[in-house]
Parts: sequence; structure tokens; C-alpha cells
Amino acid sequence: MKKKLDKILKDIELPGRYLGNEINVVRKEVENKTRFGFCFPDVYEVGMSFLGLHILYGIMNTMENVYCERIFAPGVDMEDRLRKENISIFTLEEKTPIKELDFLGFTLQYELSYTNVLNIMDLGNIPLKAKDRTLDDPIIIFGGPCTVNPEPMAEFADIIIIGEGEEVLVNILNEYEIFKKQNSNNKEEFYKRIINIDGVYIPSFYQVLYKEDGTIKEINPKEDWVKPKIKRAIIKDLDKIYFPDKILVPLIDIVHDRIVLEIFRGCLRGCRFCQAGMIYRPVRERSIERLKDLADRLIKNTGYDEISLSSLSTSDYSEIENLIKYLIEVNLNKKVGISLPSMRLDNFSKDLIEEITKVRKTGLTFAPEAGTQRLRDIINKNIKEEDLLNSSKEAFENGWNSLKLYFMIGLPEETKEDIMGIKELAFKVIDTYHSIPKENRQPGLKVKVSTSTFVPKAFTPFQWETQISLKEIEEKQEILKAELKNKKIIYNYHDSKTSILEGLIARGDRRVSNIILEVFNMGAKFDSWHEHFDFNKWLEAIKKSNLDIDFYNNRKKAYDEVLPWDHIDVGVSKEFLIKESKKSKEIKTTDDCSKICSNCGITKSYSDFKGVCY
Amino acid sequence: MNYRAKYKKVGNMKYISHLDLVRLFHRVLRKSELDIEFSKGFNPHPIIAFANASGVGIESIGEYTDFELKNDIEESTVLEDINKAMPEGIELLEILRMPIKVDSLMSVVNKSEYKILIDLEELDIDISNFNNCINKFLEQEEILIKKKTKNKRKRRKTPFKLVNIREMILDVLIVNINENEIELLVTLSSGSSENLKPSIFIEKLFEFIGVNINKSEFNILRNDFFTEYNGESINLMEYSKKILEVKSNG
Repeated sequence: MKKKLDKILKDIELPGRYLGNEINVVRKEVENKTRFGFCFPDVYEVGMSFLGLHILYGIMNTMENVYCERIFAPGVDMEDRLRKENISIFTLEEKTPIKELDFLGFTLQYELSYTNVLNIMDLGNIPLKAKDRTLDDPIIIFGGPCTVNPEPMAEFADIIIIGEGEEVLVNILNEYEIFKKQNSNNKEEFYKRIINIDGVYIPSFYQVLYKEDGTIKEINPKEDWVKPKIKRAIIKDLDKIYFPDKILVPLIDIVHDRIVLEIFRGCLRGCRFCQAGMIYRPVRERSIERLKDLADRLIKNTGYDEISLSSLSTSDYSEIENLIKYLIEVNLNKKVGISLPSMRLDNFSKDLIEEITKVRKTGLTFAPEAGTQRLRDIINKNIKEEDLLNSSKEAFENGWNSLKLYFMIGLPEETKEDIMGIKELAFKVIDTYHSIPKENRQPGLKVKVSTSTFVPKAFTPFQWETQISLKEIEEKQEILKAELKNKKIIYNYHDSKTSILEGLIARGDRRVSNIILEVFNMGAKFDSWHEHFDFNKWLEAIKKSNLDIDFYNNRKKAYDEVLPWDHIDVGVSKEFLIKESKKSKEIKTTDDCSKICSNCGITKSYSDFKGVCY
Repeated sequence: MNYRAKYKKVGNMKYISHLDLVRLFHRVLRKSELDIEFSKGFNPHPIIAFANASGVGIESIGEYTDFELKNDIEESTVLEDINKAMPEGIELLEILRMPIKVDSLMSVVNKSEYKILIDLEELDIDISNFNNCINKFLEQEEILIKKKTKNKRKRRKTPFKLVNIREMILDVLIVNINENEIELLVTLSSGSSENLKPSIFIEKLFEFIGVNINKSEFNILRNDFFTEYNGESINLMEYSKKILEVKSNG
């Protein structure tokens, strides 16, 4: 196999993707180990940039009886060779065919990666549907944020983990140890052992019944010992839980090539379009002492020369100023660059902005998301125009001459005024720049306006809304293209066909799996890559499945409709989401969690955790 | 203190590019916790230099690098500390402390010796005649290759120029030959003035013989880099030791 592989590697692009020879790679003896394959269903350079991989790879490999290896989607040229020469896709570390693993876990980070998931299973000769698999096949697990609506992929999974994976995975693997010793050949016995762990969803134990109009009648457990609702797994104390102090350092170029410190989970802003803000509640921070310690150890153990911070809203971290001061120190002493993500400058001290400027000029991004205060209030994105303009002024006076503005189009209740509002904001930013005397600002202003298409997601107050049609998106993009024609403005917008499919899958039910299977059989893969995405294949697959995109995307749902994810409990109550939905229609905002508790329900579901809400 | 190290790059490490290798050394030096000397400026990085842009696809047991530490540390400690931080497939073999300034690696390199293994599984070669073929190949006065013109403007008029590589093939020896494989020991010009890639040598040789060969059918291992000293060819490590001796004796 090694000789065959060597010959292939000489003939393909980026052979570094398939080597598994990184700094800090974990190698173990395979005898008597539970073998877990962690798969990020995109190419190496993308998958290795995912922080969750480093966390889960690390925590599983601390278990003596577990050997966790990695798998990524092969490049198209590599896949051709694998198929031509009948070679199974293999793990990076041991080059083991994936069918021989005990577990194969896929992280579902975005809906358009699903065809890659099927493709990888196919390349490993593993039957795609759970019901067709035997004990000879690995147990297929899905995790990641998309699992809050797991239904479109339910048929393909043995186990789905909903929520934060650190503890659940360890528990599942411990139970598997016990199950192995029993020498049973009944997978169901293993499932019985794990079904009551929070976060564990075993789709085959549930059935979905439909009404005549196509909506769901009920989602029921098939047996009485199966819990009717699956509670999301949540880590209570981020300081105590495992975080790697040593991570894989790739040898080839990857998308994000640096140390990443996760500073907190959850978000207290409550923007109504944002799924992450709802499904990762409550806010739980890592203490600054823990972060400093982790930073020191990671720099020592990896040799990386750049460090970055990760969270849903970094400037909301309670000790952000001290943390940044510390990182600036590290930068000066250890020559480690700091990469600061986009931050809300409205709650930053002037001195801190000056400090950051000294170290590195990071990109400045503001995300007003909507062009008018009215629409921002509807979506609960609480940024005022003065904040934006004041922060821009601050930035320009400190030497920045380029700025990014992020917006969405297709938001609920959106009117033409809101679209024109985007143009007005962009021009007001330009005016702000010009209001500063020439000697106090840098020449060459560039305002980059970027619009993406709003996709309603499960477990948000907008989960009942209709999604904007392809035609309307394109019309609005054309309007903005014309309105934003200016030397100082660059307007970026994305192909919206992928957003239509994202919507279909994000709020799809189990029947949508037929579409995914069909389009995969037609050769679809790397759907999030422009050069590989084929919309017509998807349209054909939808037609063949006798389903209708409009049913999923363009139908306004009643509050009492049974939704495909109603059997999942992320902790935020439906009552809260309905309340927020109604408030949005009254153009009323909801304050952030640090100002007032809006009773989203998370405290009722989970008590005794270290978080913002006590 | 400056150090010169000889290192090997084998196995899967042959697939990483030169830029990847430079970045790897930067990280390994930081990880070794030796007190590295950093460059000044906006993006400080460890001060390190190489003999040649290492070819992708070539294994080597004779690569060289120069780097600088803030302090004067014992050679064996430096070697051990760096090797501890290295991933599998790269290892420092020998290290030389250089208290006196010497010429850069790149400026002295002039040839490389390669061990080339050709896999005959899929190739149709008459092994009894192979020696003869090589001799005939080398008897040519001119072996021409097309070199793409680097300058974009000039490239419009002259897209490529013809280069005679015969002079850059310094020695070819058949070490072993049987029906499974051919092992050659080949010395080619290497360095900033004249440089011949071993893969091009193979391409031209087999083109001459009239056999189609592709990358997956041969393995290249660089044994060492050489330079001229007092009329003789010696490897860079030996050369560096000699130069230091001469310079320190005044």
C-alpha cells in the first residue's frame, strides 16, 4: 500500500495533504485500541483550520485505550486515483482504510458539506444508510453546529451528538470499552448504554409521521425506554474542561495557520437571525489566568509565531482589555504576532485602539447587518448609526484607511428603504472620513461593502419566516451594484444559489435526505466550492425526490406547526423564540443578557453552571 | 553565534516545498527553546539560510542550513534540542559552530551527488544495453532543454531559450542493474550559477533512449552538496571545517 501511495503522491497536487507527518502528531500502537476516525469533510487545508478538530483529537488521544486519527476529503485528483486503483480512503496517521475503524465521526459545520460526507463514506466502501450497516462497519457519528437540526442527515448516522462534544465523546468511548468486553454482537445494546447521555441522539429510535398537507404530525420514540427529547450537551465549566496545550502544526499552508484561544462560548447579544447565539447559550468564559497559561504553553509546544482569539463576540469578553494588553506583551517579548478578529469598537477605550495599532493593523470590520435602524431593531442587532460613525472616525484618525461593512439581504420585513439604507451608511462612512482634516488621516480610502443572503435557521426567532427568492436576491444585488458605484467603494456579493440550498437543508426534515442522496449519486461534491457547485444537479435531484423547495423555504409557518427539530432541546424555549418573533414584528428590541434577563429558558434547562446567568 | 548544520530530509518529508521547509525550520527553532536571534522589522523571524531551494519530491541525506543563536551554546546541545523539536523525517546529522564569518552556503555550492533508483516494473528497458545507451547519451556535445524566459516582457518576443545542459552532467555511474531496478550515482551542477535538476537529467536520458518515464517511476536521493577546494571536490561540511581552520590560524 505504501509503495502504491508513494507513486500516486508524486503525481498529484498538494501531496502534503495526505501525509500525517505534522509536528505534535499523535502516533500509537493500534493493538487493543478503540480506533476513532475524526473527519472534517473538506480538504486538509480547510479542516486543519478548525479549532474543534484540535480539541477533540487532543481529548480523545489522552484516553489510553483510544487512538484518534484524522481523515479529510481528498482532492479531486486524489479521488480519481483512489477510485481508479480501487484504494479505499485511509486515515492520515496509519493509512488504515476507514472501514476498519471502530468509529467514524464527521463534523457538520455547514450544510453544503453533506455531499462530501456521503462521498467519503462511499470512498471507504461504507454503506451510506445506517440500516444497511453491520458490526463490520464503523459506527458513524455526526457532530457540529448543524446537528441542532439533524434530520436531513438522520438516515445516514448511527449516532448524532448535539451540542458540545468534549464530555459526550469521552462518555461514549468509555461505554464502548465496556460494551467491547461483553463480546456482544448487538449494536443496540451499545446504544441502550449511551442513549441517556445528554447530547446523544440515535435517529433509528425515532419515527416521523406526516400530515396530509406534508407538515409533520409527530416525532416519536419507537420504544418506551427512549427519551422523547434530546437535550443538548453543554460544558459547564470552561476552565476545568480540557483544552489542548499542544496542537498539530501542519507542514503545508492551511487557511488559518496559528494558535487559536477559545475565550468564551455563547453570546449575550440575542441577535434574532443568529443561530449560534441561541444554541451555545449561556455565556461561559475562560478565566484570563487560564488563557494566559494556555497561551504560554501553546507557544512553547508548537513554535507558532501567531496567536488569535475565538468567540462569538470577542469584545464582550469581560477582561478583553487586559487580555489584549497581555498579548501585546507576548508579542514584544516572544515575537509572536497577534491576530485580532473583528470587534465591536463601540465599547473599546481609545487607548486600547492605539495599543492595537502599534502591534499590527488588523482588518477592521463592522457588521451592521441591516441598512436602517428600523430593520436593525427588527433583527435585534443593537448597533446605532452614531456608534458606527464614531468608531469609523476613531479608526480613520488612528491610521486605518480601509474598512469592511457586512450586511445581509433578505431579512424579514425588509423594504426597499432598508436596501437604500446600506448605500446611505456606506456614504456616511465616506463623509466621516472626509470630515477629518487631511493631515490627520491616511490617503486612499476603501470601503468594502459585503452582502450575504439571510437564511432562516432552526432555533432562532426567525425559524418560521420565509426565505427570500433567488429572483428577489438578484434584483436587490443589482440595485446595490448600481447605488454603490463609487471609486471609494468595493461591493462584494455572493452567488445566492447556494443560499437557497442552505435554506432547504437547514430547515429540512428527514425527507430532504433523499435529495442529498440523489444529488450525491449524480456526482455532486464540494458544493461550497464555486468551481464544483452544480445547481442544476440539485434542482434535478429535488425534482426526482418529489419534493418542493418552496414548501421548505417560502412557506410561512404557523407557531404551532411541529418543526422537524422539535424533539431536540437546545435549552432555549419555544415560548421565548415566539416572544422574540412577535417582538420583531412590533419593531421592539430586546436588551442583551448582561442588562436584563429575558427568560430564554436556559437557566431552567441547566442549573449549576458557571455562566453569565446564575 | 552562527551555526552550520547538515541535515536529512527523508520519507514523506520529500513532498513539502521549500517555503514549507523554511517555515518548518522557523517553528522548530522556536520550539527548541534555544535563544534564537531574530531579524528586525515588522515580521521578525529566526535568521536562517539554506544551500539551495530544496526540490520537491527529492529525499536527501545531505542538506545544509545556517542559523544564528543569541548565545554561544555547545554543538551537541544545539543538535539535540533541535532534533527533539523536529517532526519525523527531518533530522540534523552534524553541526558546526562558526565563530568566524564564512561564505554563505549558496555562494559556495557547485555540485550535487544523487542516488537515483529507477523502478522497472512498468518500464520496457533492455538492461543489457543500458550501459551503452548512457555512454551514447553522454557522447552528445549538446543536450538541449527549453528554459522559459523569466522576464514577462521579454517572454513575449522570446518565450523560451535553449540551454545546453551537457556540461552540467558531471558524472554518471551505474551502481546496480537488474530486471527490477536500476541504481545510478549521478553528479550534476548545483548552485546559483549553474543548476541542473535531477528530474530533468532523467527526462532527457529516457527521451534519448526512447522510453516514456514518469515521476512515479523513479526515486531521487541527494547524497550531498559539494564545492571545490584546492582543486578537489569536497562536501560542504568538510569544506566549512577546513575554511574555519584556515581562517582561525590566520
